[in-house]
This record gives sequence, structure tokens and C-alpha cells, in this order.
Amino acid sequence: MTPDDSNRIRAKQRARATAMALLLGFLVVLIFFITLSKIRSGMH
Amino acid sequence: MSSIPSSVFVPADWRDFLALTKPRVMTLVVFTGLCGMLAAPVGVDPVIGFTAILCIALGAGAAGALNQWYEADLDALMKRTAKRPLPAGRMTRESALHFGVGLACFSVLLMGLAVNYVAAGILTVSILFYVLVYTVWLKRRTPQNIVIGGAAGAFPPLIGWAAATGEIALLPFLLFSLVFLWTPPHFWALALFVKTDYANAGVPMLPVVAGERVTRAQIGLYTIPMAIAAVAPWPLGLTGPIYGVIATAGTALFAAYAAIVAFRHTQPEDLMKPEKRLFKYSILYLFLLFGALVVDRWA
Repeated sequence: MTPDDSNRIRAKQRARATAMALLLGFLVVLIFFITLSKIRSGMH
Repeated sequence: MSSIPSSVFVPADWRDFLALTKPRVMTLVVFTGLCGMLAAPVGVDPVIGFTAILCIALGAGAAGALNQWYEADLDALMKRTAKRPLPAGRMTRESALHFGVGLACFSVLLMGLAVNYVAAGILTVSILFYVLVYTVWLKRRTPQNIVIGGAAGAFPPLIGWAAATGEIALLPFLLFSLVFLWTPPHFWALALFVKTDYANAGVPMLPVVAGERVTRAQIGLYTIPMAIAAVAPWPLGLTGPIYGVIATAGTALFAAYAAIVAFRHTQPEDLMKPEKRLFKYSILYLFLLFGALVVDRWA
């Protein structure tokens, strides 16, 4: 594997990790608001 | 990426995972699901409503991913699909399978826990129907593949309604019937002008197996019950005149386009313009009717 290949793979892994982090962050926020909604509606 | 030697393991790009979910198909699924929810007679908490639509989108994405996992060999043979992540070699089949199964389980679990179990149950049925009944069982075996398989795409309004009310009623059932009966003319119009692609891939689409004449006749025949399902909510008192007028006018135009396709014959060097027009209009038609349904409910 050339250094160039290695850099490209790293860049791809970084992009995937960033996308996954954003997705997980979004889910944390979503589940927080779902919990608030459930509490507000008395868990019906 | 093409310059990287094949011996080097290159992880798939996040964009490839996104492409695996068929985002363009998802647009219609999300729209009909949202309209099914907004047409329901009860209000929905915005967060729960958003979650329900997200689950419908994720479920549709999962079904799309599993479809592409199973059909990678077919996709490689068709010009329209050859650039998808799997046939183009940008992703391993294993990654696609794990992604699809994971997304399917997550969408159903989230729907069940955050929204309700009726909606989660219908979402499960819709994913399994698309993957097992349509993709695995019917698509390569019968020219009626999209007739029965079309039910998979008809579930979203039902899921949207169930997410809002927790039950099923006559109106969402008619919306299900509308999308179910709309699918054959919509797909057969497409199949008429991409016939060579399907033939090369060995998919038994109706024009390939039964010929153009039969396909054209079937487009005309399926348009009749579709038109009834589209207009029926108005005389049955389930919607008001806004939906009734738009559905009647939109359906009349659909029927006119379908009749032109049904009664014509392909000429040498035919550009298939009426077929392309019917295909394009059929998409607009569904958006129009579901949009009118929501406007009618909220006006």
C-alpha cells in the first residue's frame, strides 16, 4: 500500500466516522425529545 | 478511488450507504406516509409524528438496501442500475446486508417504542413484503411481480394513519388500494421503454414475457380499478370536495394518458413519448392526490 492509498483510506474512514458521530448525536437529541413528549402525554 | 489497487481494502463511502437506501424512491414513500398521518382525524405530537415519518423512511431505506444486496447480480446487467454501490464494486455485499438488517430492526424498534405497536407491525410487514415476497420470491419468477409486490409501496399511508390513530380505517385502506393499483400502470409504462434492459437482465417483466400488446392492455385495465379507488373517498363521504374535484380531474388525465398508451402500437424508431409521459405524470399524480387529501382535511 502506497502512502497515497493510505491517505485516501484514512480520509474515507474519517468521513464515515464523522457521519456516524453526527447520526448518533442526532439520535441522542431525538430520543431526548421523544422522552419529553412521552412524559408530557402521561406515557399514553 | 478507481486508482486504488483492488488488493487494498477500501471502506465504502457514507454516500454509498445513502445510495443503498434508494433516496429517490424514499421521497414518495415519505410523502404518502406523511399525508396518511396528516389525513387522520386526530392530531399527532410533532416529535412523535416526526419520529414516525423517520421510521417509515428508515424502513423504506432498509428494504431498498436489502433489495440491492439481493439483486446485485441483476443490477450489474442493467444500464439504469449498474452504477449502484454493489455492482460498481464500491461496497461489499456483507456491508450492505448488515446495513439493511440493522436499519430494518432499528426502524421497527423505534416505531414500536416511540410511536405505537400497530404502526411498527405494519412497518415490519411492509419491509418483509418488499424483501421476501417481491425481491426474493416474485421478481425473477413471474411477470405479475410488480402487481403483488406493489403492495409493499402501498403501506406508507397505512403506517402514517396507524401512527396517528393506532388503528386502521376505510380511508387509509382506500389509499393503500390506490397506490397498490397505481403501481402496475406506473411500472409497466417504465418497463415499455426500458424493455431491453429488463430483457438483458432476464427479469420477467410483462413486456418481455407477454409482449407489448398485452402490457398496453393491462395498463388500460388496471387504470379502471385505480380510478375507482382514487375517487371513491369523496362519494363515500370520507373526504370533502377539494380532494374530490382534484382526484376526479387528475384521474381523468391519468386515464386519458393511459388510454393513449393502451391503444397505440410501437413504431420503428419509436421514442416512446406517450409511455414516458404516462410514467412521469403517474408520479406527479400520486403527489397531487395525496397533497389534495391533506389540504382537504386541513382546509
